[in-house]
Amino acid sequence: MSKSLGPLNDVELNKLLSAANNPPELAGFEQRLAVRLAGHSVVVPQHNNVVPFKKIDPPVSPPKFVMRRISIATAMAASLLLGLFAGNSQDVISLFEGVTDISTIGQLAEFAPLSLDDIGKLDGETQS
Amino acid sequence: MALRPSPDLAQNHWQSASDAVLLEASSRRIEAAFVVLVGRYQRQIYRVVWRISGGHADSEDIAQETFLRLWSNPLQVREAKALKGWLLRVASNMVMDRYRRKPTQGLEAAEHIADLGPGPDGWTAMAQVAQAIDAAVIALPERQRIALALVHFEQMTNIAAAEVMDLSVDALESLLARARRKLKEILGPQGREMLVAMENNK
Repeated sequence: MSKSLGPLNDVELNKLLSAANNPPELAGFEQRLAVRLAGHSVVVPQHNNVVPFKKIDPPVSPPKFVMRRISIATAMAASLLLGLFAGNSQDVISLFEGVTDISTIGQLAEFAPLSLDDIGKLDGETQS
Repeated sequence: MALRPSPDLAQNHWQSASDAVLLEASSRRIEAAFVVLVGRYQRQIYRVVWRISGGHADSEDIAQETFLRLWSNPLQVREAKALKGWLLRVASNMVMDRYRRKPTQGLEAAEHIADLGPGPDGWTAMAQVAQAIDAAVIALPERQRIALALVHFEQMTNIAAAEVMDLSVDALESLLARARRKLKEILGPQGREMLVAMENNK
């Protein structure tokens, strides 16, 4: 009777599938599972098994180039202070006695040799 | 660690908890929380396993294995909302693994599907119809069977079923289309007779 109607359509197939058997009711599933769990080795969850790595920062020290700049600045400041101190102190002038200075050069300028005789005279004065 | 039946009071405490809370509590080995979680999903997991395996006696064993795997490390389910999908995926993979090694009675029966037929008086007993349909489903290739079980029998959306099977939605729809075509071929003309019998038995 039905062979002439061709293949099943989707609605008919769904109707047939709805007639399929259903699984039996399952009683005591948890109890049986409990028995199995009793002999089941437990894997400790990873989050309890891992010691968290805590990063410890090294003691903070300024970079090398900063240290170098500080030492240069310190030396320059010390030099400046020493200069100011020495400039204000009269004793320092005595340190430069005997050193040819501007005034000595001025005296030389006053002696202007005019001829070779003058030079010879100057040479004689020097030797004497 | 044994999962001892917990006092009702403890279980009631967890009944209203979300899956996320239950998973987290299970990871701390709180048995009452895990019992509630099992109670929430065991029927569906068992149903799917039973359907895919063709009603094999190992269905309950596989469903329990699925929960044992969850209990061994509940935090392997990264998101609680993915728990149902995770359980279904593990369960269906277990069915496939087990029956690749050991053919089921259901699969053996499917080889003789041609022998299934109406009794002397036709498809009078609904049990006969149901048996023939079960056998037709079992005769499907396993992935088509899983797709059909999830979408047709468990009323899952194509998207959810595709996630369970780790497929694209297009691939799942293709599997379903092939499954339905194959079922129509298997049931053939007898399918219409079964429909008539079903109408008469109403």
